[in-house]
Amino acid sequence: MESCEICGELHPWRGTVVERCATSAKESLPELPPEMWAEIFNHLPVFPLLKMRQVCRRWRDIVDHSLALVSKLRVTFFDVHNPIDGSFEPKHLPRVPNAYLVTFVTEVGPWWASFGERLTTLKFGSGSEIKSSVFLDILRHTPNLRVLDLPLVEFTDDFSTLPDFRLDKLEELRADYIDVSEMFDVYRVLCGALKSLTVMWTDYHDCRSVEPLEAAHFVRGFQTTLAELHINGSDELLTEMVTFDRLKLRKLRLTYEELSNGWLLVNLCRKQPLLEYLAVDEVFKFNQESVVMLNQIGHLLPKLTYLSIKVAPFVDLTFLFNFANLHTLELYGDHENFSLVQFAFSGNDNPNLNTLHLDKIHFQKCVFQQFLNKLPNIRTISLRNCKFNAQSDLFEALVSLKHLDKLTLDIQETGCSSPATPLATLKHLRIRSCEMSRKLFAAFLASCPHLRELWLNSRQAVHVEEVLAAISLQLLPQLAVLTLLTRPMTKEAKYYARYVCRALEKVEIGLEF
Amino acid sequence: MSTIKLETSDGVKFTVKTQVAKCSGTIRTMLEDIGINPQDGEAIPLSNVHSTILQKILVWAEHHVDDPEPPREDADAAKRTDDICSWDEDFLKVDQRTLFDVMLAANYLDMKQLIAVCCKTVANMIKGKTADQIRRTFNIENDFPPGEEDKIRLRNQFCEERSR
Repeated sequence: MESCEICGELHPWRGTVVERCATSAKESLPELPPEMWAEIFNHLPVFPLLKMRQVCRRWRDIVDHSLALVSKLRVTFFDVHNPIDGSFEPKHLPRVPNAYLVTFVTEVGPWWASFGERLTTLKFGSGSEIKSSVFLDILRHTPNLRVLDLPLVEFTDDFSTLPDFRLDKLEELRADYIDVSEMFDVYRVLCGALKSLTVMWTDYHDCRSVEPLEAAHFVRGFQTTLAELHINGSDELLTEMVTFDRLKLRKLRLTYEELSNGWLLVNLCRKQPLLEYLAVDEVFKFNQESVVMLNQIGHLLPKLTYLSIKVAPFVDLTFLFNFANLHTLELYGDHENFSLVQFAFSGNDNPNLNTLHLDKIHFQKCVFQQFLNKLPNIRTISLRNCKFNAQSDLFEALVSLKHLDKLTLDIQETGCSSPATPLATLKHLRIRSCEMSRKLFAAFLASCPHLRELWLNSRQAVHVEEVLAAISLQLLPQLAVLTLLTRPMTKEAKYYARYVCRALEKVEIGLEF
Repeated sequence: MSTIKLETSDGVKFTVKTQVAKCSGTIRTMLEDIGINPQDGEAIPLSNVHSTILQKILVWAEHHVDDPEPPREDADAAKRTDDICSWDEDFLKVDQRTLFDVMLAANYLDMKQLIAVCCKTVANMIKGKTADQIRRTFNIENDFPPGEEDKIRLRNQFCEERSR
């Protein structure tokens, strides 16, 4: 229990929040205007925000009438045991524009008409099964929908008739389980001027049920409005897309099928000079011979800010400096082997790159440091399954970064050390696995004095103990959010951990993976 | 150094550095756009602000007068409430009536940074409390008919955070 900062009195509830006594409780307080309360509520996470609706009528109305606040919420139907059928009749659902249907639906009652009308975003649970007629009944009453998300939604019967209505305001469609080409006809009728389309038609047994040319024809239908496309890559599709003269994409992600020829990609980039985002890490592997393609792509796409690619063993990262405006680079190594990358570049720095995701990449001694030296404005680094000749190489390289804010990494045992100088700017740290000794881990934590968020996945209890010790010794004074994933803890240990962390904003304790 | 005079609702006159007074969007507009010329010694009337509150607000403005323009916030980004600087934290250790009066005056004077820090302070007062504790804190009457609050709680269970 804490005493009030104003009157010194003990208040009957505990907490770390600032307590303030209503010295003027007898007389009424000055009334703040609704928009000011809305701005206050806007600073709350979702659960406290919902609680505001319970306080009084005025506050409930303030939340319900603020678009900024209700947009943070969505209604979720999550009962997986009882499907929504004709007898389901929820009353007084909150007036929110987002809904998530995890529960299977067999029939919608009259309540849906007034609820659906307000919706701008509707998402179905992943892998839902639904009858085509019910699906159309649901969408018939959502005329204001802007986003329709159907992750792996499967229709249990054929569409006997095409829809007799259209979702004119729909801008974004995700349909990643297209198993019959008739579905393209259904979506073509339903969708108006799509800006963003995710469409996939390869099933998980790797056999196509729809021809790429049919999919290409579907995409062609939206070419005047489409800006973002996520689609199965395939030779035929890319060959066809090169002929779409009105298509002006800003974002393209190709997945699933490997391309036989990287020049198809170069040709498509030549036709899409406005691309800002390109993710092709699943469809093509660039090796030292095909690096010349990357150099071309860099010249063809001057606006590119995001690039995600896969590289085969032995690639020289120097191509990167042809991408002048890149903010984010994702680099994936070979599935079977680590990709050993080289870097030999003595030209100018790349000042725009601020985010780096590396997966299955192997850096030779000092290469990582040379590489980062050319990228002075890196703020976020994520290293998954990466290999360094010595962990000290990694830390030496990280210490040289002036703006490092977020770091994700696995910490191996080999050549362990802790950083020689503190990572003074680091605020978010995510440790995916940790093999460090207790002493080194403690030293590592101490070298991150400004952490706001720590996420640790470790099977070793000593790591958890060191985190709790650092918190109780106030070595991490700015820590607000903590996630500890570890071996099952005893009730007492959990209680102790929660006690030590009582001043933090958010604490999660769970099982390691 | 140029100064201007401000007159509060209770008739008290303040002489203030122009630069400090311009922390208020309202006063800035009066001086720059409407072209009120305070050189002749006439005070700008602030009919909605009491002298005790203006005095407090001027202390804040004096301290923050050289602050750089804050970066534009992403509307979707989760708003933090733990980034109140310790000077502001001490400054706002006042009783609730004063806090609310400061907020109302800051609203009238259009001082966005002061409003933001006050909103964060009130949000911190709300966090971690039950509905009942919130009512006691802000002296609010539960005006729901009996049972209604439980119904709202039940309905709230349908809600959760938007994931995208």
